[in-house]
Amino acid sequence: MQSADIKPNLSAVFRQVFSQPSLDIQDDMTAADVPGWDSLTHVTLVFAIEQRFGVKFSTREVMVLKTVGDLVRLIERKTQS
Amino acid sequence: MLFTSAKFFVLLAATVLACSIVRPARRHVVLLAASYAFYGVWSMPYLLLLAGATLVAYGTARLIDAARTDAERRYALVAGVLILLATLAAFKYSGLLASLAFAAGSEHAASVFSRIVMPLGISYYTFKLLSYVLDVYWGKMEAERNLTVFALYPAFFPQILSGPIQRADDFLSQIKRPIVNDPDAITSGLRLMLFGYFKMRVVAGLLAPIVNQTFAEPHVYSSWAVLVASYAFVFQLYADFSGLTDIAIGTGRILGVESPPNFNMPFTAPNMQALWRRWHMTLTRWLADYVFLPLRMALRSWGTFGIAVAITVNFIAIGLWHAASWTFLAFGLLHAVYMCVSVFTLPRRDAFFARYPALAIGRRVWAPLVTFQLWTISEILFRADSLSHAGTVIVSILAFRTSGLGAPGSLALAVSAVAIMEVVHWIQAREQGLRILHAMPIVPRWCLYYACLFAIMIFDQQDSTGFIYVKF
Amino acid sequence: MFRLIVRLAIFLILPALVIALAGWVLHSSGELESDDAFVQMRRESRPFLWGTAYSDTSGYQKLRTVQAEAPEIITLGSSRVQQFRDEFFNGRFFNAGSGSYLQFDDLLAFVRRIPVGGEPRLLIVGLDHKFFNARWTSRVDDPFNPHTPERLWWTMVRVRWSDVYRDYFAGKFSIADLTHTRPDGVRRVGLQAVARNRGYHDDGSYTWDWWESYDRDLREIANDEDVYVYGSGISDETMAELEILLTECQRRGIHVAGFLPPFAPPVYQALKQRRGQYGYMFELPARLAPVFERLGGSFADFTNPARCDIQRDGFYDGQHASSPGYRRLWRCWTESDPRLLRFSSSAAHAATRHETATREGPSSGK
Repeated sequence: MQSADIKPNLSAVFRQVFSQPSLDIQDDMTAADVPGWDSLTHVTLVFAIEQRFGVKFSTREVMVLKTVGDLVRLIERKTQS
Repeated sequence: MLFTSAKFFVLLAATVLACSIVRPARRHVVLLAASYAFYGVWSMPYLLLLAGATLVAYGTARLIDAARTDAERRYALVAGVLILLATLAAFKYSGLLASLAFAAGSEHAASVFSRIVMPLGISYYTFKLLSYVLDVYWGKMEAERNLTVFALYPAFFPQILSGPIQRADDFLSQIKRPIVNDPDAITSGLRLMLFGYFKMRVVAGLLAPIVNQTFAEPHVYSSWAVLVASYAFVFQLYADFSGLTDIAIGTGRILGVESPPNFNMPFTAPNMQALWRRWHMTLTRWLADYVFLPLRMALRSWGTFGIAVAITVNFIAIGLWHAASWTFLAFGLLHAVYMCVSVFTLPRRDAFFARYPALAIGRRVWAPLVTFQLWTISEILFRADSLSHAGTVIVSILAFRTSGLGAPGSLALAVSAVAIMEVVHWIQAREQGLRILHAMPIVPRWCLYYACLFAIMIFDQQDSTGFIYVKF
Repeated sequence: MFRLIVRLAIFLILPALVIALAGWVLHSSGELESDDAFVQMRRESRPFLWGTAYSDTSGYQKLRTVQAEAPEIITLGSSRVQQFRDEFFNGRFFNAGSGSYLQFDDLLAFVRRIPVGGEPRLLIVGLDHKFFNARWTSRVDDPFNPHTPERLWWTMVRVRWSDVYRDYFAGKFSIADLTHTRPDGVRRVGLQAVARNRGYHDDGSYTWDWWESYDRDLREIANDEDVYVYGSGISDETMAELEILLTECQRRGIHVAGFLPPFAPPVYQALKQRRGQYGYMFELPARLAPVFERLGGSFADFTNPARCDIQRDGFYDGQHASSPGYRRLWRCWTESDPRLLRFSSSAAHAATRHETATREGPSSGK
């Protein structure tokens, strides 16, 4: 999948997980920028992404995520391999 | 050597002096020598234990980095983590092991276990080393090659006794900068230390008699007095621990290392999750990153049940990290219940208040109050000697007993001290606050410092008075 | 950086001065004097008054003195024997009474620590009524402990500096007290001695600085408090300890003279009115006299201040008669018990002068 395809799908996941229909994600966004995104909901988000994109992340891969951009690139790598 | 002894200040001054003499690039060697001296003065054998744990973590991380296969990395990690955790558990739960050994019939082992003294700071430096090893494993950072630089990380004396639990990448990157003594940092650090001593000695010192006398005999006090004493304990713990943390952070700052904060106005938190993110922050974050998150990941397909399990394990860990006793286990379980309820009902609560904006204004006031109340109940478990003691205290409160003694000690003075503490915290949290302090002319500023210092000095000698036949 | 050090030094001047000033007060008043100086000063000819305000190691000092000097006549007990002066006696005398000896077993422990060969010929024991009350449980943990670590000068200054300021501003002493020495040639050690003329004399006897103060005693009697806690009967434990003391002293050749000290008249009346609560006091003579007789000691009951007209010389407070009163007590006792007569001095039998007190303390006394 390309980044351009990933973003809208990812946005949809964010909107669903955090109950914010008008949320638009940017590459440089972090957990601090999205209300409700904390250590408790982080994995819920990850799981929802895995379901949506049909991929599986390892704990290691999830640990190093800092921004939405990192997330997009990770999904990219996973869907291409 | 505690933070409150004269020897500590001598060490600090000597370290600062030595840092001004050596080359900036060699600064970490001075700090390491000072940290080892600090620890070694207390106990040489346990200093070797610290050094040993340091080597284990150092070696494990290097092995992980050098490993070629995932399996090798995992073996290295498991070996390192097991050694560090087993060492921590052996010392922390030696009392428990002693009674188990005794029950199993091995008196010799029991007597060995019961004579073990807990190494100072072992909970803190073990957690630091574990976080380092895990960070390297997860690729968040590279293994540190320089042993003398790395050895400072677990041993850094301002942080070794009671945290904050700083992350390795943060700490090591600061240590590796070739800096010199900064007068502004030293002044800021001294000021923070002064406030820390004030909280520990004066605020906690005023609250302690109220707490101790009431908790010793809850049944002779009125329900109101026991309730007041419970609140007093929460603030006593807060003053004591945040004071100790301030001294640690201030000392670190003097030596050129900025430590992460441990407290951030915890009682303004509107719910339990938020409170934990403001109380003993470095511990909460450590558990969130190294226990909760991996567990959540492993259980992510279990849905809500998975979240509940992860929360429960996380908070049992917090409880038992303090001590291996029923009261701390109960403390952890209670918080697990609080957190599960809060986490699962928060979306619905938010939706409810979104529908009634008038009530939402009131929520801003009572949410922290309710949260504080729940927190107080759990702290009764924290303070009690046993589950039955905790039960006695709680029953004393719920009995609505009007007969009995009122709150002992100087309550008005204690409340004033707590108010002063919270005002300063509020100022500290705001940038403008610090600017105002710096802008103050020297005389009123020094008057504040003197007031603090003399209050501390007066409170410093409440310990022993000895027997005097005729009072003067 | 240098500027910072200078500022820090200037900042610390004020606290250092505050503590140093308190330290000067403590030093110049003699509060920091070492306990062994008491024994040392006894060897000098200059009379002294030892009245420290911020520590009390009299329990240790009294024992040390007895061990070092082996006096021939000792008075031993709580504060209620401290009025015996050496001019009452014929022989080397030391008053080993101390407010730290709050239980009878402290006296027994004291006697046991007298080295063999250093025994006194006469041991006058103050049978403080409260010793025999099982409900009186207060005690000093280790009365013979010199508490040396706490008495180090830097510890004393560190712990007591704020007490010095508190007491100064409460008017308990003035700077003049410290700088101006009284012309009587008495060396004063400690703030109580310097400012209040109160403390232990070189013969171990004590001078209080109040006079005829009975309110506290009467209040404690009414409220079942402190030394006046109501009793339920004579303590068997204390009686057993007394037997042991008398037996051991008999074996070591020490003549023991025990006495029940007097109460001030208003206090004595109050105690008599509460026979139910203080019955044990009035049963004591009947229990004690036979024990002393059986074990070769002397015994006298001076609980009633009218006896021998002790009350004529006045009282400091409810349980402490004046020193002339004790002279009168001693004279009376030797007249009824010839075994004690040879220990008594001619001065004891001289007419006594009435001791009066001003607000600052007794105007006579030593």
